[in-house]
Amino acid sequence: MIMLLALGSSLCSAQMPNSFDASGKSAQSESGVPADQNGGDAANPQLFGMEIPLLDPSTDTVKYNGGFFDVGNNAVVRARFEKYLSQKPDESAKSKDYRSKIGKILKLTERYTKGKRPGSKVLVSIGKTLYDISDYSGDAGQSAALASALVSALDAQRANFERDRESEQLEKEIDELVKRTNSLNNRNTQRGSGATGNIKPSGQSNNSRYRSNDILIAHNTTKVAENKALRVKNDAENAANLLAAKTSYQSMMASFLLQRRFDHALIAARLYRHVFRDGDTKLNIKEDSDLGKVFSGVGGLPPTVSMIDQLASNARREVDQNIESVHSLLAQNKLAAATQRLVEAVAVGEYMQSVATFPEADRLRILEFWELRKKALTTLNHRDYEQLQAVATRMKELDADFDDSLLRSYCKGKMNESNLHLRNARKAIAAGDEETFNAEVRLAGEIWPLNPNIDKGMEQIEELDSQDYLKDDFRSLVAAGDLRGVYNRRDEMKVVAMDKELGSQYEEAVTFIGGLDEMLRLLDGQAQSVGEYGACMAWEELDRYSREDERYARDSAFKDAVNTYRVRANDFVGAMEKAAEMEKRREYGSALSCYYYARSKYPNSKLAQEGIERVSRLILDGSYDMKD
Amino acid sequence: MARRRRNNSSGNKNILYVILGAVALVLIVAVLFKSSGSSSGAGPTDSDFRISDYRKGGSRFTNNKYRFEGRVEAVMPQGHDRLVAVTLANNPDGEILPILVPDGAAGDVNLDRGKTYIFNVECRSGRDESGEPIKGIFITREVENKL
Repeated sequence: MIMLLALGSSLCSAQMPNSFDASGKSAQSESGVPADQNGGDAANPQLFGMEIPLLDPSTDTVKYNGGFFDVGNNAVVRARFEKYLSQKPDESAKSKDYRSKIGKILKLTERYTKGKRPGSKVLVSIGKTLYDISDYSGDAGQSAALASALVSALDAQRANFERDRESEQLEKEIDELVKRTNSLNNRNTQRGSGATGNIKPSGQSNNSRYRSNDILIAHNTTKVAENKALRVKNDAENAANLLAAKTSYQSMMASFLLQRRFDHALIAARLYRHVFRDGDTKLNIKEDSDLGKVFSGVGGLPPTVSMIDQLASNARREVDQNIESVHSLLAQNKLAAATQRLVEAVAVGEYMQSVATFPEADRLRILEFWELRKKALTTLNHRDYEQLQAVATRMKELDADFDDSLLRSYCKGKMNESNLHLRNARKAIAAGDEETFNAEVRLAGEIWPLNPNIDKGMEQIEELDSQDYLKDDFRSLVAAGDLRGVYNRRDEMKVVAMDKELGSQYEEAVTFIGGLDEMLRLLDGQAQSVGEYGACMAWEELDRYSREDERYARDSAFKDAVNTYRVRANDFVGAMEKAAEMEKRREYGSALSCYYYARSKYPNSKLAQEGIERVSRLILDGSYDMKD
Repeated sequence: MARRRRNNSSGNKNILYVILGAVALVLIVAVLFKSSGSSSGAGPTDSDFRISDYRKGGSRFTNNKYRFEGRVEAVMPQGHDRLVAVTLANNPDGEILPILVPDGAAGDVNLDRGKTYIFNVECRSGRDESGEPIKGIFITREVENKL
């Protein structure tokens, strides 16, 4: 029973694959088809041209058509279950008639298990009924096969009976011949000893009579020997015939069992001892054969017909109970559990009435949940975690008891892991490390290929790849000292910020010009607020900036501002510039006079004051020749 | 005063001598007055000097001698030398002329800020500490108090 139930177990489990591989190995493992474990050994035994699938309980695999299938995780069984769910129950008149007649046969045979024996007419009638219902498509010829087996067995029995009768007849003939032979022998003996009687010793006529008797005796002796040989032959043929008939019938029963045709197996088992009335119910199966292994685990006893009866009965009961359980669970909206029970019921008792007549509406409910389960596995295989979460939500909606926590936590973990790699990628690209960026994006994609954030990263990569010319432009501008040019195109050149080599220069240029513009703006405001000396103050401030950093003097906006204030503070600026010129020419007296003049124009001028102090020192430190 | 003569020809000569004498006297006084300038100093000053011209390049004035009446605006001492910043008459207030007063050039004159002095200066060149030329510096030979 365990092995049969194993055919359909564990199909509805929501367990995650123990190992997951982007190459799809999990899909292969889910198909439950491992490599040929025995290197292609002999095919299974056949019955009526049909291969019998053989279960290996030690590995929970079934060998069929040259391959081994894991019954716990089997695509074939899943496919059959899906086919079952999508089919409508056959409520045709023919199917009802079929089920009704099978039911009647089962009831009839049950009666005969309690001691009463059916007559040959009953057996023939059962056979005829089986033939009648065999044209139902759902029967797949099983009833005809059973009927044929019955007929063959009965024919074999009949043939044996005929041979027995023949053997009896032969025995009688033998007796008769022996009697006659003895009689003839006695006559010969009496004639030879002058015994009284009507036999007169005569010359030649007496000799011919002796000879005639001898011939008859010889003939009879030969005949007896032939008859004995025939009888022995009949006995041998009977034995062989019986064995063959039993083996054939037993193979049929086992086949029904393995094909899950429990009704037929039960009927065949129940009729066995009425067909073969010698009381021998032992199954003639080699212990070391595949079929022998199927029955070997049941109590360690030699397999008998009763075992088949038992197994079939138990299977039928289990299936019916499973179906009842399914109905109950569906009433409670426990679809996950209901699906599990139905899978087990279908896997074991696909051909049973309770399974075949399972209502369409309930099938569709379970089909919906089953499809979600399939979709969950598919999306898991494809690593589409967003979709998987949606599926888990829907499954939870259908079955409040469904435990989606494992699915959700798994999805969340993978999504977070992928996003973590993308975060590392963003940091890498900000540092201009393209190699690390590529590696991190690849890792993120392997974990979660449909991560929407990956597209953003790819957009950045494409921007980088497609806009290399911007880097060249940037380099040219920086080389020319045109930071203003970089600043004016800063949005366009934003991708340069991601470059390891140029990023810092970009940031520096943008920050510098931004700061310069802000400074000019503030300075202009201050100049206006100060009053008449505002332009002098502003010019002096700009002059100080240009002395501190030559980049200011190269900027066009800066130069414009300088020119503007020069015009407004023309006297002051003129004096300062003249002072600088005189100082350069070492005409320190003139320079000093210019600085004083500039200070008169802008009393707060620091530059003028510094010039006065500096040049004064230069004059005082000098040495002068006053000779005439 | 010369006595009036009855003879007309000798009288005319006397008048002529008187007139000539008066003119000479006036000329002398004028010369003396001019050389002392607007004050009653020892001589006239160079009131036509323009500091604005000097600002355009002092080397042009090298070896020239001047007598400036200047008001001291600032004094920067170094040892016994002093560099004074003076404003001159007939120059705008903002114009400053730097004049070097070497040790002893001022004599007993105390150079105080805000006061006016007569500076006898000469435009000279010199050398700085590194030996490089310095051009167009007004160096004082003598300072006088303005009376």
